[in-house]
Amino acid sequence: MRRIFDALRRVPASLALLMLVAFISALVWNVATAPLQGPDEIEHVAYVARLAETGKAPSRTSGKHPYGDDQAAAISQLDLDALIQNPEARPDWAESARQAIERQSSAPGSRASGEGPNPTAGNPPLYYALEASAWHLTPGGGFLGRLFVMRMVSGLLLAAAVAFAWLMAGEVFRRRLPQFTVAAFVALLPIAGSLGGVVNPDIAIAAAWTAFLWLALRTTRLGPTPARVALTTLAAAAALLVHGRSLPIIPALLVVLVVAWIANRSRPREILAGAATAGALALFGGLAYRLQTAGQQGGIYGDQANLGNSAAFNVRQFGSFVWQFYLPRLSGMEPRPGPSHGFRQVFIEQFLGGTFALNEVYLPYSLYDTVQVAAIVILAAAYTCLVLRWRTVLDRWPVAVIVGLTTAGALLFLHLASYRALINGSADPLLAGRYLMPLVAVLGLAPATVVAALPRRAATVAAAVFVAAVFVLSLYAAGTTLGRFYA
Amino acid sequence: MRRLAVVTFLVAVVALGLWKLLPFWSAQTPVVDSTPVVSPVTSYGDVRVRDGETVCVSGVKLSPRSRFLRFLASSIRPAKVRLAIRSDGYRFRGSASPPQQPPLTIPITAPRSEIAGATVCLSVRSRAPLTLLGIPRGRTFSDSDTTVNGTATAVNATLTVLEDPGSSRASSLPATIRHASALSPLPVWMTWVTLVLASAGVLAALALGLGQSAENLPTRRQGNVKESGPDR
Repeated sequence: MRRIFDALRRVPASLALLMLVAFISALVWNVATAPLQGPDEIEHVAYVARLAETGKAPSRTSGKHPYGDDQAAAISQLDLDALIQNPEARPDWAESARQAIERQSSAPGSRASGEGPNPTAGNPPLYYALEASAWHLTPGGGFLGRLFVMRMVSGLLLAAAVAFAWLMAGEVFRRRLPQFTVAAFVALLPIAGSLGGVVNPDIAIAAAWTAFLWLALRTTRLGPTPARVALTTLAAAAALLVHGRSLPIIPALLVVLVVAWIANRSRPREILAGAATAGALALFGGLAYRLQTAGQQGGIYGDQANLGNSAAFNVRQFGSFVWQFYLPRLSGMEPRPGPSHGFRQVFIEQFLGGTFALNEVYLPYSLYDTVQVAAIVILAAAYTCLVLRWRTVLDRWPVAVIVGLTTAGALLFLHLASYRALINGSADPLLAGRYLMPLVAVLGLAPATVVAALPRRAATVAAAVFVAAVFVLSLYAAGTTLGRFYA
Repeated sequence: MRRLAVVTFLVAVVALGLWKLLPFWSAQTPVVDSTPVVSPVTSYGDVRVRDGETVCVSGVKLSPRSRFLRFLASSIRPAKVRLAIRSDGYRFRGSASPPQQPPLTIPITAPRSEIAGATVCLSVRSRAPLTLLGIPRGRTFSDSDTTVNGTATAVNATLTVLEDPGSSRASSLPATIRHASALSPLPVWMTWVTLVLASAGVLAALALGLGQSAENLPTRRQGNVKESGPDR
């Protein structure tokens, strides 16, 4: 106990403040977002309710009641169906509606009936199990009370992501200011706050990936002891047990092990022990997952990882598809399949600026334009800093390789999933801004790189202006969402 | 450096706040009390009401804060409509002249307590017909029904109950907070505290954290730092 207190006392005040900022930000988003209006929140809450009440996940394809009776009562009494995608609609906040939900919540058996179908049922159970504990912690709270507490768990995960981002940045930079910049970016980015204020596993993916990156960099720097490799593997396993979108963390883990081996060749015994630990954990995790899903139909992640006919895959077309996501189409290129959905929509509007609730709460386009200009300037400046300081980058090649390949792998996976979905006839590009949450801390490294490279006074000014800008953006976004649902 | 960081941060917040947040919070916006039939988004239709006909919307929820009814109604020529609201224990009568472009906003006297199922009727008393926009029946989740002279129409006329037809976002914040608190376990005062924390509290926390981080402290205990050479 004393060791825990000592460890807590060593937490830097700046980090403690940023974690508090993240939690308060998530709390505001919790209040600002109407019940069940987060991305796919209706289905995620139904999954948690079913798991908490019966110990079983819902079915993806069968069943007659997708939601528990209390959740169905909330949807109908609060007019939540009418709210979806209609910016003029408001929930019913009359006292009578609330009382009707509470009456339904207290009816026996009202919570356990959401057997399915539930499209999120193919997701692994880790995030939902965590939320199920919150569900049980508020037995007398009624449906809205339980939803509020479950959303607070997401807020805690955002605070954890901030702590991991701080630690990760500590492995990349040697000074506190760029470290603060990365963690503040994660704490204040509106999309992170909004996901910390609803029930959605994307915030858990962000926390797990950021923890993985921190542990990976630490393992590489200090050497791959069995304990360090085990922790890194556990972080990867946690990400895999949260969502199928974490699959690219497997090659990232292999990259980490190879880099750790090359960077610490003088300690072969440590490396062997570390690799054996990772292998044993992976084997154990795979067996446990196989046992848990033995009775279920479909492939891995409830068949969600199967994106259709792989025969239709064409490397040249895929290359053109990715090119046109980021850059204008060149002559000779076929038009990109699917809707117009590129860097501007995903990175700028949906992620850095943010679209909220069920992707229906937008900021003014002039604000997205400002964010786009700022993002491009910061990326160009960060690139220039890296080129000018190439010797430092070479000296610290393990950091560059791990961060670079993990980022590239995650993005490639998202593009691949999107491409395969579109060429197999889907109208949905399966790529939303929130899918970039695993890389939220990595994206925060860009402004921090500029801060780290500038002279001290200029760096202080740059960090202060950057943090102020993200803070004002977060206030604007939360205010817009609050007004959309409750003004 | 600490002072430079804090001052720059505060100046930047004030400047960016004046640039972006001030216009946002001073923008005029209606304060909604309820949306018995929501506005059409992708699928819409209209209800035409001629001289002597009466269009009614049933199942309307009113509260002691209901001050205006807003229909997406218009008339191409000058016209006159009479409004009647009836429910158990509450009656209201009024009149209005529909504009050439929607919406038609009619002030009402608020009931003393919440009413779950009021019927709101508009009677046309002029040769110019009244056109009300709405959502085709079956494309809306609304419990409200629209009828003309007692016959159900193919379209549910859009109706919004307002507390205020237009005030600044800042001045409508108390109503916004009250509505948000109604759907969360936080009482109104605690929601206010949360908002103050999210603005002033976070501002102070960021200024403090930034000031401390600007002290050029190392990120790790020096014993763990393997790399050599200064960062800059």
